[in-house]
Amino acid sequence: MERRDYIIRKLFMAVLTLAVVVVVDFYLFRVLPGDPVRAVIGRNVRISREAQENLRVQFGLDKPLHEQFFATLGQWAQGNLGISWSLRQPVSEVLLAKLLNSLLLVILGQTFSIVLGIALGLFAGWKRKTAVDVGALAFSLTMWATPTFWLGIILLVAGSSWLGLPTGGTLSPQNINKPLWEVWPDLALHLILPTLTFTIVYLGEYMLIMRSSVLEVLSEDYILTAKAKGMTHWQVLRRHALKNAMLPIVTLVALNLGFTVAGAIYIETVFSYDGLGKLFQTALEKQDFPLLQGAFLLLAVSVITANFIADVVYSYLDPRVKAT
Amino acid sequence: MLKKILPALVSFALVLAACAGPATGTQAPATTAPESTEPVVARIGWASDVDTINPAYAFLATSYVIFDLTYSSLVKEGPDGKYYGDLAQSWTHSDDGLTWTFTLKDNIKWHNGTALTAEDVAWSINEIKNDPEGWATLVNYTNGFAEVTAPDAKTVEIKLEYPIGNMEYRVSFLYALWRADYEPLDTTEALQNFTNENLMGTGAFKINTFDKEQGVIILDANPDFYDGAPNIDQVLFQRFDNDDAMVQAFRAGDIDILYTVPSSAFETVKGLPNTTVVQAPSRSFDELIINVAPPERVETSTGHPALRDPEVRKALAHAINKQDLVDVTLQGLGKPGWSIVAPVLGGGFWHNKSLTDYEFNPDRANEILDAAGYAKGADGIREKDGRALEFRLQFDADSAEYARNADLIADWLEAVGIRATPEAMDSDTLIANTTGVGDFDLVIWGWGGDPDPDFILSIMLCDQFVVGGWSDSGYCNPDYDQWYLDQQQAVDPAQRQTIINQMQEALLRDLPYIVLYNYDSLEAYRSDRFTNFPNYIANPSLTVSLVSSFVLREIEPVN
Amino acid sequence: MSERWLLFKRSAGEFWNTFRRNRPGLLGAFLLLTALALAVFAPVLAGRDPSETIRDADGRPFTFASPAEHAPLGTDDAGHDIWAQLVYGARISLAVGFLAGFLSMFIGSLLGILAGYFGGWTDTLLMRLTDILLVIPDVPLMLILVASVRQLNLGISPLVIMIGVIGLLYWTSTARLIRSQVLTLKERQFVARARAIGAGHGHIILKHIIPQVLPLIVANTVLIVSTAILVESGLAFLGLGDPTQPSWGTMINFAFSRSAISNGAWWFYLPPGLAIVWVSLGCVLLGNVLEEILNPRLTAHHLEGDEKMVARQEAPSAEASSASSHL
Repeated sequence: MERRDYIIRKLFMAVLTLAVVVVVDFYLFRVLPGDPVRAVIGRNVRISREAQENLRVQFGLDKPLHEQFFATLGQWAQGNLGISWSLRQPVSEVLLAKLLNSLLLVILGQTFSIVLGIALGLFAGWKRKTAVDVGALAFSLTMWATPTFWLGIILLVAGSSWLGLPTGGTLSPQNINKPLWEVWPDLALHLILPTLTFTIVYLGEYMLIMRSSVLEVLSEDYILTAKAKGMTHWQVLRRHALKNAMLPIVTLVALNLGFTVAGAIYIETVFSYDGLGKLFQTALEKQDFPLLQGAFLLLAVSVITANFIADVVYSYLDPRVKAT
Repeated sequence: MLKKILPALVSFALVLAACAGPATGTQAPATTAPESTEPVVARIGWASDVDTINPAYAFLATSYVIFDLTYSSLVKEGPDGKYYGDLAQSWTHSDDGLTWTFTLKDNIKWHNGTALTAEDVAWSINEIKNDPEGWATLVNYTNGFAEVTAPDAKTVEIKLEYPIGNMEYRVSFLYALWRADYEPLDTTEALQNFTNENLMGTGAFKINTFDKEQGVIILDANPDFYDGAPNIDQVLFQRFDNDDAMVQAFRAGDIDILYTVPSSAFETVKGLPNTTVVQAPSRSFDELIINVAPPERVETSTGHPALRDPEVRKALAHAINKQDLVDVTLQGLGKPGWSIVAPVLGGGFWHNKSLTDYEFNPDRANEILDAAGYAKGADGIREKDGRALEFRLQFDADSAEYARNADLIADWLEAVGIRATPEAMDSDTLIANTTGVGDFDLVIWGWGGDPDPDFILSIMLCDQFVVGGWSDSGYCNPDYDQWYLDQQQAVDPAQRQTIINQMQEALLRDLPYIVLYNYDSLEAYRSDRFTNFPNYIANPSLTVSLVSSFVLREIEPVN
Repeated sequence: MSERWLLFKRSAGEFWNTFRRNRPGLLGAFLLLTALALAVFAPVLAGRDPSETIRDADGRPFTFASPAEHAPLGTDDAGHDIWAQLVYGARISLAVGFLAGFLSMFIGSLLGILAGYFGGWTDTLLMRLTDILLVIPDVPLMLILVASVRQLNLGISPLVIMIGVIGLLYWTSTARLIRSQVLTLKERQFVARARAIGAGHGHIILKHIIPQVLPLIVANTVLIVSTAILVESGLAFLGLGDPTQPSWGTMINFAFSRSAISNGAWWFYLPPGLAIVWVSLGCVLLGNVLEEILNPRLTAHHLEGDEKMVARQEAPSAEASSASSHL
């Protein structure tokens, strides 16, 4: 099929999905009976009933639904995601700061996953049916069956008691307010365990892709031709297997980039890492609906965008999609 | 071969890794002696949020910790629960109790060096009093104030509409505000949106940084503080999302003071080297709320009718082993209680010491229920008039303690023929079902401590049983309501005490709440970093928290 | 004895022969069966009630006791037996996992069959729906759905809500799989022939399509169950489970939030996690093998081949290896 048509179709789907997400995100939270006043003040504040009513008005909870929908859409389009009930700050400000933290973790983790995954997959495919290969397969399978948060806890305990690594947080308390260029070693130290957890969790997928690509290549006819031409096994592998695996790997990377920001909820919770995932979990606990709503929107948008980019890249790499 | 032993090897390695976990006493927390050129910082860890440092709009209790350190008021609660002069040197009231006169101390300066006058104080109190909408969180402390003036530069005079029994408590929350900041804010919205990030006060510390997102608050010492400059240079508050991470940070030496030690980690923290723990009774309690609101009073009441029978409530009180709750749920860190007015309130003044609680006696409970006509059925559960004694036992799903309590209570009730079914609920739903609605049978919940008994007594008023009010049990006793008004206006402490004792007696007899226990407040600090903390062990009446102004301005760095 | 039964017995025999030579499959079956046994025989195996507090002579609870001191796997922060919790927790984890898996399977199969069989608009609609669902981040969506439903205070147990939410979100892979199988089946002549002799859609689906895809559904369900168990443990870890009926994930949540880590009580968080891995791995291994064995060879349908359309009583030819069904 033609690339242009393919991309247009994918774009349409992306927009449609976005529309569904927006409608769901809006109505879900407006229809809920949640009480921000109680959620924020709990049971121990001597605030009069009139003042509580005023708070509710301020939070905009007394207006009819449909009017609000289009007004809110307009606001969202301009990047105004409302004010967080518990933090008393614009949601967009809060989200941005946490997004950067999450991106850092995700990008680091993904990079290590890919590099290690490719290397291991190469090795495993090469040494097919040997202990290494079987071990790698068993490892992948077991990692798939292992809950991410539990792996995080184990690494947290092992890392902090054996290696003296920090037990959580993004920075040590005294470094929190300081500029990045001064405290980056502390940040790096805090990133080691979460990144490691991340890498191990996503390693298996890339390894399997690479491995099957290697196996495919090894069984192809052209390996005979290449050998006849005098290339070593290694050279063949490198040239063909890698290229063969590129397509699924790239697709997977783009997909994962979107999902892992969302899926980092577990890792961020275990390591108290100050990213979007932990923010989501905290907003959930506090029932801070504007924050929850905004965070969900951001997560969904990033996944949809990442998917669309993956589709576009795919269209360039897949030989079946012809260029116009 | 490898295929078979690999899983075993992996799990073995994992177990090894976890076994070598934090063992008490084997890992000394890192110590760094503070250098003379670097500021001496007391780093405090807590698991709470400060929502804002603008007193007009602060809801969370921890915000008031910051206000205590940075603001002053005429009078402040002291380390032992009694009231001491903060801005005021001395104070008196007229015989009819309608006029209170406060004489200020000398040398009180704002953080920017300007002298504080009585006019500043009077202005602040009027600012709060005259704007109920804007100052919603503090205005109730000015209820009954008629006129607040400053006859001269060192005197503040407050005239009242009626005598007020807890004047000192009221005044302790009326901070001296910096007029230039607050006067221009003429709409409620402006007032509530004001961040007050350059908080100007007269307290022992001044604001340096308030980073809400990161959860960091830094305060500098105020060298001109009228009651003596602090012995440290800075205080840093760090918020942790996870109790365990906080304890680990303390152990690693990242923080010096733990604001709250989780009860399950208390023993571990106690055993750490160079660590002193503080275990002091608190004013807070957990209770079993009983739905005593009849359907005649509110249609939505679905409470089991047997709960409105005083005999059943008495039996419940006899059936619950409060000491066991303390031992198991609190790991011994608390004391069984019976009164909503905690023994430690006001230095022990307000608790009714002449009354004793119902003792744990399942046989007695069974007797009472038998005598009241609740016969045991074939399954061991009692019934009367065709209705079995089956209650919903609900609690906030987020709390570990309530879940444990519910399990234990359900077992004890089963032993006397009552089936209570534990149900974990969302806290919003719980509030929506209880206050003013009465859609529950039994709920386990708790209340935090206020320095004066007035608030906690008010939750039992008839007119508080409305949506948005404070009454969850639906208790309504006209005598109690009258006593409440009386104690509010009893200026003579002895007289007020008598009334409040009477109120506690009524509550013990009527049992809208079965108070379970008062849990202790647990804190810890590094004794090798700072010294000169109050001696809580030698002085058991001390209730003040380690993070209060009284403590933080007295502590000194070690060497 | 009917033809059908003989045929079934033969297929089952073939299946078993292939299966028992497959080591991973056997391992998977073993893991799964032991877990099921644990759950079923919980009261016998536990030795104690999981909410019982183990106390010393003075009545004080043994909190965070090491394994083998008072309980085989030690105690938690309230002195409860962790082995007992683990064993009873198996019931919850497996029940939620299986029920959610079945729900997913049911929805997915239904939609997949309908989309594949009817094609056209139904198919397009379904495909677009699965595309949309796949793109929305699953964990955040589930979190807010569970939180919302609980807020509505409908009195539904948290576990039932979890089953519903997981079931509603994980049917897409099943739907796609079944759909493509049904498409392949449709290509074959027997559907056209059945329509030609006037069979209704429902009849065709019920009597012809479903039996053919059933093995695939079964294999796929086992895989979905594996996912469901993992997802449930994650949601429970974040606090969405029922604290009065703890699953393995809830146990890990308890450990994490009640200072097990700072107390060095590895016996609180290690066993439940291992249990989750045990069961998930078992389901995955088993599911993979089942899919391998049951998938590729769609048995020839008796309406295929060159036989003419005949009346019911005629015996099927010796060639036909599938169940003989009556028109």
